[in-house]
Amino acid sequence: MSAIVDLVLGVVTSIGGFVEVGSISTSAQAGSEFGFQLLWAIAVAGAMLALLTEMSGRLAVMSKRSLAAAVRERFGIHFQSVPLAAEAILDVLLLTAELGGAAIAVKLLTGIGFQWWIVPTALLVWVILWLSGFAVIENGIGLLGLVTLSFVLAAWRLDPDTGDVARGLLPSLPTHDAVRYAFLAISIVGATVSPYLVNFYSSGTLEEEVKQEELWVNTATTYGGNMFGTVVAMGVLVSSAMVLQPLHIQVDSYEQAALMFVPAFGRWAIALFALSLGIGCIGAALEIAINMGYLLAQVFGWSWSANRSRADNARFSCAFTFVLMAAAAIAMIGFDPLRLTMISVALTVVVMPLMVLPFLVLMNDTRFVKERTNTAVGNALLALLTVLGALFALVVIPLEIAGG
Amino acid sequence: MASAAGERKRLRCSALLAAVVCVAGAMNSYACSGHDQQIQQHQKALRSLASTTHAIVEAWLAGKVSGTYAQTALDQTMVLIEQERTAVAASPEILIDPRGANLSDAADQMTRVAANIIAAVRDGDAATARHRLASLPLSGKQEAQ
Repeated sequence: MSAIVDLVLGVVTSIGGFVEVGSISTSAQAGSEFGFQLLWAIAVAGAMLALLTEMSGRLAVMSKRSLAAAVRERFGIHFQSVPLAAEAILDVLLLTAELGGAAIAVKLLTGIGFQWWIVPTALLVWVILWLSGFAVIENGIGLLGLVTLSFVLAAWRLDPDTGDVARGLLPSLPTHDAVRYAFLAISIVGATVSPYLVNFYSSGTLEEEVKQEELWVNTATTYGGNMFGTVVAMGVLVSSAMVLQPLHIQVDSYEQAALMFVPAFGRWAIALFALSLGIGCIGAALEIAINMGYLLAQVFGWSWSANRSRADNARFSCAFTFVLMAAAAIAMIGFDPLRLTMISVALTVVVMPLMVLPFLVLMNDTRFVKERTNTAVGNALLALLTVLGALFALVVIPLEIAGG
Repeated sequence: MASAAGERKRLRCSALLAAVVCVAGAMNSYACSGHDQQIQQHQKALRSLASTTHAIVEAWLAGKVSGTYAQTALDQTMVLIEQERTAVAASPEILIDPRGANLSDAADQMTRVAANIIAAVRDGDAATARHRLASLPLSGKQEAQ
């Protein structure tokens, strides 16, 4: 019974972190510029993330090590320093974008400039991290994140043609702006398959002390939860395609994106959009900040746990505090959060091979995963992902320059 | 013998000249297509911003969004219009082209009209906002008139 409750809670709360500034902005842009044509990219990205999170959870259960700790042990600190540096830079940028997204959500409701809300938002995130255990951070914010289901409700109310939506799930060539189409497809993958999600998930599995006999819960949660998040991201794209594309509105700001809710929700539109954006971003900011604490602690061998007193994990607590302060300081400079998001998403794609490659080794090493090594299909998918990741990493920056 | 060598030299020169002409032609064609693409991109961006202004003001006039949101969103749209206007005006290649010059004029006019609309929304003056909206360039409705 407890496993079933864990499963349902895991699936429902997986929205926290999945639907955030990156997935909202890339899906909204894709819908406004290419209609339903890029739905397949969201489906592919969701499947890629599910594959990686399932493996990171399995690795944590079987080896009692998080992904970062396992990489450090298997490959050594010299190898680890490269992905660690890449993820640290990326997480700070993403955290900045999430703080900016949450601040813009408040701006939409109050009319007061978003820079004024950066420090209060960062402070709120820090207070939650300082005072709460892992269950509150994951489940509390995940449950609040259910407000993002309003994207699905909006799409349903707008009554799209099911045939057109189904056709969007199949990859197709664009009728215009092929470079921009390719850039958005890769950006959707970058926005979804964030390195922090994978390490956060494996650390969370250890925090929750998942046992070997509960591995099926891990598998069902990752696939079910990612499917749930994918449906919400598709809701963003469909709403944007139904409302913004016919008006020829390209999404260059969150204020424009908010308009996608007006036909579906009328007077409640802006409040619902702001809540969805704000809660989604705060949820992701919590996960990114604490993941930086996990990452640094696991690589350098410090004690870490969100369930222990902060005084017992002084360096872990200092790490997430410092990262939050750095992100807030960058956000205060006044970067456009939407542009920063698109840059972060492109950089995520660049570091993707560094994240995927160690999985191929770790998930076949019996010292770590014992008898639960990857199947031939799992390895083939992982190899495909590595090749795709390398290909995406090579083309994303030229594509961003040419079509971004 | 000397005549054959001269012939070969002439052929090489012709081939080289043809290659230079081809490369120059290709570069010119690429520059033109890049230049066309730039104008089209700016036009698309400005049209999107004009449509955004329409959508915001119409939603405000219909009472579907608050004055606070309308003003915030219009302020942000104005910033983006200004960025586009500056980008168009900063490119001599675009300004030389008659389409680019028209676009630059439209962007100038858009900035002025958007500023007037923002002032009308701030004052809660629906009639003026509606009136100004009708004169917003590059929006589908204005083009239809």
